[in-house]
Amino acid sequence: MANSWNDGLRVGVAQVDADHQLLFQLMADLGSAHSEKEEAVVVGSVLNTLVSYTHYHFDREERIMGLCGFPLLEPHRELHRQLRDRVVAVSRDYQVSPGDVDMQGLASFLADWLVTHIQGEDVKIKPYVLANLDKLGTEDDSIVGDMDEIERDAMNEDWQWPV
Amino acid sequence: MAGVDWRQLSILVVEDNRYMVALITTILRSAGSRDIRTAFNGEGALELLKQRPVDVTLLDILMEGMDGIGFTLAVRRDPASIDPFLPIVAVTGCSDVVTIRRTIDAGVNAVVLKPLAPKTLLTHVARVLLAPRPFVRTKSFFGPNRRRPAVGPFKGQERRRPVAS
Repeated sequence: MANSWNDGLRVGVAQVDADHQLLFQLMADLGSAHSEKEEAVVVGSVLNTLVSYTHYHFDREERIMGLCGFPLLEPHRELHRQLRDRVVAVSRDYQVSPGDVDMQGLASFLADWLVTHIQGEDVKIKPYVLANLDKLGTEDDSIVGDMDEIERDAMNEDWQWPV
Repeated sequence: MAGVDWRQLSILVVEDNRYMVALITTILRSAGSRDIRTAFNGEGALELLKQRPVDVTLLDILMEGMDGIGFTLAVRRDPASIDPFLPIVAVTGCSDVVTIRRTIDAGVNAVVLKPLAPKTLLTHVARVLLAPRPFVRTKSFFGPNRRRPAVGPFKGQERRRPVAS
């Protein structure tokens, strides 16, 4: 895969840079797991994780932009929405018919998209972040979303064995 | 409710697929965990447990050598086991009902099916830590109570009748 993480892609916001590195890693894993003909449950697991973390990362970026008063939040949010929709659609296609999804093509497309997006759009948030560091103090390192929600779900009695 | 302190958890991942090892490790690290050890089958996992106990184990079922069922039985029933109450979350792509049933009967605390989703995995790990089911011991079983929890009042036709006196 031609496009992978490198220091030139840093936007200078630690959590965002860490998220981007993770997304590139998952894209690389997705492409290689698929090309090495790993089982569908393995490729599907990587794809699920990539879909989830794409959501979490975009949510995080949009939250940071909101806290910093980034003026281009809405058009940025629209770019995120378009990619989210595409990734979710591929994920659904894969659940229905794993053999018909060009996973290598998806991984390459996502990596290309992310490089273009980082260099063209994400870099614009850096000055706003630097001017508003005090407002970002509570931003969590976790990318997994709302950990409190996970623990609430864990306490839900309504679970079942899978068989 | 005291939550899960993911940063302080020590976790053992037993899995023979390198992509799944990397993925599960990534998910756990993204939740904050750092003390993550990995083994590629049951024997390796038992060796690691001898060196240092862990708080929870994520366990593949179908592996070369000692599989997940063998590992669970060794942990739960071997008199030499260092932690018979070890929380074990089985993580399996196996869709064979008999194998999954055997896994539950070996004494795992939870079963998560692949393909994985991060939130599902973390929720099950949190569940076995925050809301553990009591252990029971019978002649043929030792492990967490396998009964399904109640999910509300029974809505079907009631067929049981009081025993006539």
